[in-house]
Amino acid sequence: MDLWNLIIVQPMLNILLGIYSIGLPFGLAIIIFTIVVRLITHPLTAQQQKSTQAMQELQKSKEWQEMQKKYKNEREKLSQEQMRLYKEMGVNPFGSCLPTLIQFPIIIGLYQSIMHALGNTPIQLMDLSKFIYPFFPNAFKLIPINPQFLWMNLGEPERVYIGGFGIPILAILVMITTYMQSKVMTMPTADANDQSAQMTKMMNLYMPLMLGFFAYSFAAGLAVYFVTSNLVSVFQYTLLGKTDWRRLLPAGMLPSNKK
Amino acid sequence: MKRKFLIIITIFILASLLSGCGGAPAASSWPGIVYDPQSQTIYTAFQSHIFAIQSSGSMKWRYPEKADTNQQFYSSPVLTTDGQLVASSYENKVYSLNPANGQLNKILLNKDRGRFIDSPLATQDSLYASSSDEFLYAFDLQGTLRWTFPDQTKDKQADREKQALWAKPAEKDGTLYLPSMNRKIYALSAKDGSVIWKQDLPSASVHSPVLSEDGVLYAGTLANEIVALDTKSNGKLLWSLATKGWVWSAPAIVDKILYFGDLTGSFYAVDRTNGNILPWADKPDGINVGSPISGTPLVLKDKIYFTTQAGNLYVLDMKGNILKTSAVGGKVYGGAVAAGDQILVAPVGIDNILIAFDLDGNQKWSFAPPK
Repeated sequence: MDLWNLIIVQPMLNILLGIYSIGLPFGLAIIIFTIVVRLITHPLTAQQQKSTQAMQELQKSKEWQEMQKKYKNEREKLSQEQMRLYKEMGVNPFGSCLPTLIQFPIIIGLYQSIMHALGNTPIQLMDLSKFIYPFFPNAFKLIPINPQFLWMNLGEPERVYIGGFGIPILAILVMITTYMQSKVMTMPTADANDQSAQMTKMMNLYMPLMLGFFAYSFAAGLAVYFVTSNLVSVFQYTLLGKTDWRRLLPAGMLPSNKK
Repeated sequence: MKRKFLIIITIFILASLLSGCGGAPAASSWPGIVYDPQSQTIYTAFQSHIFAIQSSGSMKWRYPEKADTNQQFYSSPVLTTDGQLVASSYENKVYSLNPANGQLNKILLNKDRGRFIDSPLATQDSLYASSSDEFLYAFDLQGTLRWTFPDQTKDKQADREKQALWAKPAEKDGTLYLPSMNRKIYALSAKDGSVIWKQDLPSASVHSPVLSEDGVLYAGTLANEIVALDTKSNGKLLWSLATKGWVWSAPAIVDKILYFGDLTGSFYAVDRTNGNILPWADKPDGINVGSPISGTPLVLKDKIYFTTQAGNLYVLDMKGNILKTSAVGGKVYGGAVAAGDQILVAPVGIDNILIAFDLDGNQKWSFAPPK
């Protein structure tokens, strides 16, 4: 077994099976596992929030805004000055991106664990025998896993057929919750035209589309992870007192903060 | 601009990684082989195609000519008594082809859900196809549905056991023996699908069971054991034998001996009357070749042939001594199949999807589908 499977996929798969073995539906096992993963990575989430806040404060500073005006036609110089200011203020410009990137191996590992555990095809099911820890008690009684959860088959892309037309309810939910998560957690920038604001805007647009596309194309189990993860994120930020629900409203409808 | 590029690259990498980690059906099957001694033609189905190959290794035809990536075949085609070549697809269709030229006769069955993992069972006048949509479909050779198990016309959720059917049933004297992923074996009337008896298994059995002439059913399970059930006593357990790993495929029966392998790479020869491992195979570590054995062994004349996922064909004498190990290449999931005086092996992961060996395990020819 290669290192990736040994340290990522195999432990994840056995934890999922462990949760499933207590008699819960496999979909619920995915939800519980996602919550546990989010709790374990909570320090990263808090760090991300801290970095984002530091960045926001930096961008609101007088020096930053003057710099934007002064070098608005000199992009290279502007970048150099921004980097200097980041350094001076001790802000890591990638501090808010890194925790998001760290989630990618988790997403990929979880997807592989789900697919192996569900054993939807002969080779996937056959491979499962290599992944189950030998000391896992009575694992054979769990296999094959029942892929049904609520209205969906967790091993296949989810559709609800109405009048012969398949509606990807879960993919829509993924898009809505991803958008909701990114909106309520993103603080407004002082200058909507600056590079970071543009980047944030783009991420807020691309992420829901990207994850929605994954949920549409891949096994429903992954979409269950996305929806749960998004909702847990919002909950975590709410606990940290950072959530602003007003940001879900279109820009024109936002109440003014100026007095 | 650089950041936008970074995002696009990240999306691309993630999408590639996800699609490469098991979602694509193409990476999840292996070629199934059937040999017709009358026409000396080998039929194999793999990925999007069904191939007819002469016993010299040259292709006669393939269906469809142009690959349809929405269509995947996970099992071998079967020949019917009225001269059709029938193949079931992962997309839940059953095709009837003319074996002489590969022309489509008709689509015998077309379901909108589920998957056909195994081939249909062809009897004198019927076909029986197990689907992952939890139903066994019984239809005549023209494709007219005769019945389903469970009975779709009643379709009471409470009556259904909510588990996929992967393997085709075995048949003897008008009774079908159907393994289910819900850890049961059913004996059904071939006439109307009614349940004659059902027997619990310790775990799922993913292959079609094997029946001996004296009415004993042998099935390997995912609970690391093989069981013998007496079909004359409502499936009463006669014996069970613990194995080191999952038993993925049916044993080969020769006289009083069962030959089979498991997914730890152990090879077994067992007295089928009592479940005892034969003395020559009963070594402290068994005969272990270190790579999963997922295909049914083949026993011909005085030799035993089996394949491993590491891509080897083993040739053993009848006392279990390894006479030859032939490297096939790629991975081999299915068992060796006899085609006249040739042994056929179907690897995946390399260009060749069929390799022929002589009875001593020397390679004769290989077949790679034309691009």
